[in-house]
Amino acid sequence: MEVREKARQVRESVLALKEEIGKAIVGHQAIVEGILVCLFCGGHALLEGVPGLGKTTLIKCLGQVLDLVTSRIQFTPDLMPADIVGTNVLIREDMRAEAGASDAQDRRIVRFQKGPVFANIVLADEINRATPKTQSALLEAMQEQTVTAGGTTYALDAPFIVLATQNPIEMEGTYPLPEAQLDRFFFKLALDYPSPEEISRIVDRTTTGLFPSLGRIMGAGEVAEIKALVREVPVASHVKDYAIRLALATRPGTPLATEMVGRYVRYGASPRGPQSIVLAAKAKALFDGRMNAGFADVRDAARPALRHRILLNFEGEAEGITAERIVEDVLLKVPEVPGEASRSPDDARGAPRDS
Amino acid sequence: MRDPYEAFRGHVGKLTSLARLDLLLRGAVRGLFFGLLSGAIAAAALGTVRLPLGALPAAGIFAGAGMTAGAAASLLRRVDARRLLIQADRTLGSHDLASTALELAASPSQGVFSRPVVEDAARLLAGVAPRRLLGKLRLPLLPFLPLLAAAVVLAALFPFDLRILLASLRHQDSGLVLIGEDLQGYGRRMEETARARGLGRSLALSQELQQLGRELADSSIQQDDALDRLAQLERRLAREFDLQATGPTDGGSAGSRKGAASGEGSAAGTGTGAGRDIGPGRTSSQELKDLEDSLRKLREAMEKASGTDKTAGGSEDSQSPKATEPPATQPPRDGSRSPSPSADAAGHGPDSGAAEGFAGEQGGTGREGESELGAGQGNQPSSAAGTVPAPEKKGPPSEIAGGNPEDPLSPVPSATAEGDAAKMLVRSLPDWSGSRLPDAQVLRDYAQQAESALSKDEVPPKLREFVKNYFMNIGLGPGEE
Repeated sequence: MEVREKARQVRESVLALKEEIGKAIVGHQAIVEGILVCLFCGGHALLEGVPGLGKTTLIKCLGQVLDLVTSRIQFTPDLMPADIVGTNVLIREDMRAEAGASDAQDRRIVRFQKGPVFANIVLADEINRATPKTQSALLEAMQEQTVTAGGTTYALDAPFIVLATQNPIEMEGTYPLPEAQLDRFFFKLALDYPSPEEISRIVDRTTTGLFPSLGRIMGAGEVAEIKALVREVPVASHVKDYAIRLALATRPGTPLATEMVGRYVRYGASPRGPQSIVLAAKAKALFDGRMNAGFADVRDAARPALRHRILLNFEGEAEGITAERIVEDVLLKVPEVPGEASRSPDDARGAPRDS
Repeated sequence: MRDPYEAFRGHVGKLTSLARLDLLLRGAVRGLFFGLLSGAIAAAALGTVRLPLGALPAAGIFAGAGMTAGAAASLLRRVDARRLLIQADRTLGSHDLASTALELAASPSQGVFSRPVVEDAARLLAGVAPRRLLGKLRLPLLPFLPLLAAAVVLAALFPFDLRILLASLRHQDSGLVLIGEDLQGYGRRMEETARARGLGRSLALSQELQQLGRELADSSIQQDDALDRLAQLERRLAREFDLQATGPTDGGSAGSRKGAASGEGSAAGTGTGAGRDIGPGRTSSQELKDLEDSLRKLREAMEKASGTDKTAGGSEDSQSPKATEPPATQPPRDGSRSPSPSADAAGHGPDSGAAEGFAGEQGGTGREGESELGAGQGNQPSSAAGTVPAPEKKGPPSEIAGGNPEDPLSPVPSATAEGDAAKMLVRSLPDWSGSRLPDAQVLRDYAQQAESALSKDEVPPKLREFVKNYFMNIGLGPGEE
């Protein structure tokens, strides 16, 4: 099949996915697209939103339309790592049936009992309620897509995506995610309250017994193909350079750092930041039916890719500065091409230039 | 089907060529703007800064040079195709397709999407005029060019000396400043000539000219003083360089004033001109004459600028006291002939011939005679003939003679009679010591030449005796060695 046709099919598939999910999920198109970007880029998403916004439902829908194995882990303070990755258990087997012997003989063996992480889509609900030790149990699975238990490493089935949620309120008794774990999330997606019209539709769907059933759009094989195709999308060097400069601008002390970054940021984005931006830009371009990523794709990808990679300092937190504001400031101040004037606020919000 | 990579490169080539042309035009217009601006300034300054060309040709040359330089500078600038295509993508809203294709076209084996991207980019560029991609050609300085051209023409028609503006900014009399600067210019030219020819006294004169020019330019000298010093310099210059002028002279100049009572000086100088030993081979008479004329014009201009009616050797208004008084505040520095106030007055007196001869001989004895020009030789036409205008009307001797007895440096009235001439000699020892030669040497020469001059028939016997006494008084008689 010609590559142009493949790109067209990707666009149609993604549109179909969105449409199918949209049957069950009202609104949240950006969240759905973000999750799909993470899925096709091989990343993981951290969803942040108050309870009741449909996070869990969204992830279940995703599993249905993708025909993938989903699992849900409710993170609690007493959750243990073994509860996530699984554990070795001692099993006593009755050998009489097998051997046909008249003497009863038991055999005890140790068997690895797979945890809920062994799925294609893992919903780590309220991940910040578990202890850091438990949270870190996901690190290996997220990064290497393997699980090691009892000296044995188990590979996870592809595709593998962790969709973690956390509640920005009720912070008592929670354990903020460590930076290392945060950095492993490809995107951080913020769910906002639906509009009144969307709430009306939500109410209709959930109170009338007309909850739609979702059909399968694609399977693991198609997901793997799209993942491979995403990585083939070309990115011009100046576009890539823009992504790198955006990430560098979040680091205080660097020449590109904005004044706001220098004042309120303790740590900026790691190299995973520009990696995520460029890869997401490729996926976004392909979702849009284009075969190359541009500045606009980078800008769109920069917000969810950078916001959780910026650690504010005390002054920033004391003054109520958010990482989102820092990212917006960086997008505003860093020009697309070195030497050009900075962008206007309208441009920074994603409006195409000169068009 | 045409190779998409080739097609894309062709479109990029067209785009960069057009961009290069735009750059060239912008550079040329920018250069033309600054060239015209310079041309307008030059044209405006032509009144005093004398360029070898006229105002308009000079402005044209400036404009042409500016345009050429601007265009040449733009040719040195690199046209960045990537930036062009980034701009084109923004114009077309093509999500950086063309700029990405530029990189893919440079190395065609980049991934599965390389060829379709380049194809799409080539198709995109083919459907759009390069001018639309580059945007409308803007020549920001172009609207000012007609204004500048008009300014050039106006400046040529009504030249405005920028130094006037500078002088007014410094709260100075712009007219005097201009004259002072011109005077410095003349002095410098004269200094070059004097140095080239080894003329010591001329060198000193040139330096005095420059000094006076500087003082005028700095407004550190009063106008009256400046006028007086300028008149002195003018006369000394005339004495210094005998131009052998044969044209009509002013009345105060040397010349054989046969009609002494009328005082109308004739050019045929028969007076014994001191200081003419500068041979035609050493100095160009025309050159010196030009310089002398320039000085006279300067002085007149300065008089006009100062609003006074001062003249060096006389005035058109003979009724004014100054018309009969020598203009210099210093006594005659030498005994040279015609240009000195005494000679002027002598020209008006009844015994002008004697006075001239006497004056000339006196010049031979004065310190001015120390110069390399040497002692005067009688019956030589005066170089200063045209430099000091003579009064049209002649007053009686009693009006002319005089001087301020209280002030030893006051101008000595000219000799209208023998007695007055004697006064003049005693009180007119020169104070200027610009000569580089030792006194002992030149005095001896002067004495010899004075003796030689006294032997001529036209010198009245009484004056011969007087000159003899003079040299005796200064310790070197005509016959002494």
